Amino acid sequence: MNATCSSTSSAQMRVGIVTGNVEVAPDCWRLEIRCPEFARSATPGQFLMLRCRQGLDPLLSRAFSICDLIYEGGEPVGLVVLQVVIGVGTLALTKRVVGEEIGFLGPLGNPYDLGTPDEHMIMVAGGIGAAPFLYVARFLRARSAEQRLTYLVGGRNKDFVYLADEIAALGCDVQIATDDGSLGHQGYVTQLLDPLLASGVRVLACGPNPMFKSLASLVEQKRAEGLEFACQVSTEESMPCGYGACAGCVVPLRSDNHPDGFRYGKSCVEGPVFPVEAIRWDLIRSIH
Amino acid sequence: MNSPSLAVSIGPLDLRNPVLTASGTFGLGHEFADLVDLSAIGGVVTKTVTMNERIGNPPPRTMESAGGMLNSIGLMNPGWDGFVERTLPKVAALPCPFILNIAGKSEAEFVELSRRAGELAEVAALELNLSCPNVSGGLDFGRDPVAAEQIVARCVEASGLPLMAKLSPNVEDVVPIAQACERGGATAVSLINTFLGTAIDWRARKTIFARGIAGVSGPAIKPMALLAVFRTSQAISIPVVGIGGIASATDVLEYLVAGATAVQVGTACFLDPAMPVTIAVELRRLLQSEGIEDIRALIGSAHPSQPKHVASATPRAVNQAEVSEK
Repeated sequence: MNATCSSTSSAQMRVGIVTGNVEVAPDCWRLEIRCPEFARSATPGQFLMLRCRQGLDPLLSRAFSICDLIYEGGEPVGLVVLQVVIGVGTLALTKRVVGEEIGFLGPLGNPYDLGTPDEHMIMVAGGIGAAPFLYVARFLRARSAEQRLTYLVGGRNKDFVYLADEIAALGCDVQIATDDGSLGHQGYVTQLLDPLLASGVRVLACGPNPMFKSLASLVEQKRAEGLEFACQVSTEESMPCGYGACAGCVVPLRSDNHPDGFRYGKSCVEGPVFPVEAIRWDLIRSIH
Repeated sequence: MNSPSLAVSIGPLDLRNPVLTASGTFGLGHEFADLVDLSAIGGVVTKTVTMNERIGNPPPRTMESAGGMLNSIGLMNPGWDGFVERTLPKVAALPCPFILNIAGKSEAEFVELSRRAGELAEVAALELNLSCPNVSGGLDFGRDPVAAEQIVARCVEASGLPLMAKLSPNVEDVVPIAQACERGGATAVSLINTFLGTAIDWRARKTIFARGIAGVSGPAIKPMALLAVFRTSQAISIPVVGIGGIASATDVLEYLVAGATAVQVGTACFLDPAMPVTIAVELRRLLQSEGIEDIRALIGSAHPSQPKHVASATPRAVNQAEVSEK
């Protein structure tokens, strides 16, 4: 491999070393990669495009949030990817072994706007959409020991609730919702958010489209009632390239300059983080 | 031995090496100029530019398949005015030839776009997209030899530029279409665009793509694309630009030996924007290690009887280099 880890261009191929790859929950794997240059330039909410296996099968890289950074002597030297096995690419990633090289592009995309420490920060996660929030919470806690941080996490059942303990350990209020009530509140994570919304809070969300749609209507309702707060979502569109070349990962964005009131924006370069109101949720088709 | 010569020519268009980017896989050509050393490749071919802006097809737009992928992007592009406003100012600084890919909804639109392109000093050549499967009517001009010959002839006349006609494999036989393009005055033909395919969500009992069909690209289509190049290049006298599943220098040489004068790297760019550069660098190293002094000696060398415009040479066997993770 001629690629280098010393690149300053974010979409340049880097090569890291796998330093850990373990199943931390059913079909959920925590992959650690050493690459100091990547870790130093990363910001919360960004992502990377990971080569699942050596060679060209599977062909495309897979997009993952930066779940956490690994520190050595106070310096960031690596990153953590939290991934759920859903197909051939993610399955191949589980076979990656400690010590081997792994190629990836990144850090890519626009990070969350983390506002100021005087805001109540509410992180809303659905399923593996939890992945970016350990890094977000760690970053925020390092920025301010006092900021009020809340982590609302939902999953199908108790086996699909991710990072609750890790984020609680950083001094965040954690509330859990499960579809079947096997852990925490029975119902949806947006129901946990409702009573917390107030003017001046800042909401960061990552999860599946049905969760976003429900979030978007809640936000719209609260704003109609006169509350003023920021809400950003990190979309989970499938990304073939991750750097703006393929135009595959688009989301419908509001646009006054287009005949139908929207255009398609590449979530990899215009996002993946968008203000919730920028997206035309009514046009999103959920195929799952 | 001296450093091998990688230079090739597509008519009057001289390329420092035969590695181009494929339309639709490298933006409008300028977006990645800071990221990738474009002085190391033969040229960039833009995503298709149409007369009016197109927002493209509704998602999902892509799906991975074994050894490849399907796409149904729908020619998303800013339209001619957006191209002139945003892209053109950055083109002059590109350190490689800029090849503009265009598509019209009608013959008149193709001709008008060609005329406008011909007025731009920044445009080194045109590629006519006669083969997009993802818009209605996109394939029409590439299926009928009479229509293809006429549209090529009119676009050549209107633009005065070297012109490549990008053809579809989704025809009974691509050879007569390529011959028609040659008669029309095309400088070259680019073979091939994506193969038609689909993907199904069986649980939902429906197709993944809103239009039902999509285009298949990637290493999976390389054998079919190679055949199109191999057959067509023996039947015409103008250069063939090979496209389909190219992801290594070995792939490039296979295309050249099959009869291509240059190639376009497409889907493999999605893995790494530097893929065309990596391939071009590897190509030089491979020629050097094989003792091949002039890459042109390889063009069409697999043909039973070589076309007139190709120099005669017998290349040494090229090892099947394992494609390593780049």
